[in-house]
Amino acid sequence: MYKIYVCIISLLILAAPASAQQDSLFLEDLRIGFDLVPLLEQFIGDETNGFELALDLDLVDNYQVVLEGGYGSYQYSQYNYEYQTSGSFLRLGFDKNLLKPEVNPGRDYLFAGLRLGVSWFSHAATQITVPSYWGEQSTTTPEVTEVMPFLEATGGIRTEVLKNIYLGWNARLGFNLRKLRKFEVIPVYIPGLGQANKGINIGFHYYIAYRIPLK
Amino acid sequence: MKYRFLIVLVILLTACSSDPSCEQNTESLLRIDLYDYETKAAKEAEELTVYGLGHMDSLLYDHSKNESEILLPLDPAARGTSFVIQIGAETDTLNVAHSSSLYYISKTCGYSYVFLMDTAYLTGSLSDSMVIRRKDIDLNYVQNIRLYY
Repeated sequence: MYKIYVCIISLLILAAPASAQQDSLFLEDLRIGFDLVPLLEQFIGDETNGFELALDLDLVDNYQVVLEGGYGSYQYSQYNYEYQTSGSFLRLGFDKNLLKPEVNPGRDYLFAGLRLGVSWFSHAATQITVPSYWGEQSTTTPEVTEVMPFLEATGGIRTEVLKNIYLGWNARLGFNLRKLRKFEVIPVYIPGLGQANKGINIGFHYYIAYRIPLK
Repeated sequence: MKYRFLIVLVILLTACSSDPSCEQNTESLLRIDLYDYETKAAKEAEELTVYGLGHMDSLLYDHSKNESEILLPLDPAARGTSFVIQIGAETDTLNVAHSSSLYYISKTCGYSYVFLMDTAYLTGSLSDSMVIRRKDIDLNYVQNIRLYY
């Protein structure tokens, strides 16, 4: 938990000096983005499937408000159980462009930001086999629907490569805000966040986005 | 001054990292520590044989030497489990009444069962007495029973 606080505070400190030396700008640009990483994961046969979209709107003082959402499913099996989960997620937050606003406004971004997310998903262990001296025991867990709030710190870059077409990546550090042991069935994977058993999840997104000029 | 970023595709990550292997206990075991009934001090069994009642062909301890503790697997499908314990020429039957519940350990270790002991008693010629110290039987192998013989 200490490392998470240090990470968030570091991002805020990183953002603060840039905002102090910039003038306010108001760019009414809306971008809609599509995450290419889930496609790549499906291509390489990863355990995850899904998609993710992002909307971001330029605001004053180099801030962007960001809404992201998507769907994810995950299957995992190893020697004594099989697990599957699927569900949707939303993230709402902001990015702070650390570049001066007069540098290609609305085109180049070097940003840090925060997201508050929520994932709602159904999951179950569809087969559990426990070896024992007294004989192998087979069972399952019931499928249950759960809600998990989470927080992410993010940073990355984005740039306009063609007129109104943007490419960019961002890396994320995310952690869940609900204790796992309070779930009826302990989740292995949380759509929108990642592996549930890790204290901090590291995520990577590569977006292609289209700008919708609003004025 | 205008400039553009060179976007560098750096997609290594997720698929490159494999899950670590499971490196902890994955079976809950009842732990019995052996004591001298006169001095109350820990006492090793010179020769110990243990098996589940009805499973004489599958020994848990086979004439093991100098054992001071016994770790026993309970039956998750039953409300009670019985074991035959032999030390030297003396034999006891240990009967344990318990409940079991499914327990998720971790992604890599999967699932196991943990138990809650209700009662336990011994019959036979081996032991003088026994004391239940802890009723939770889990993956930590903390002393559950003291057996005085």
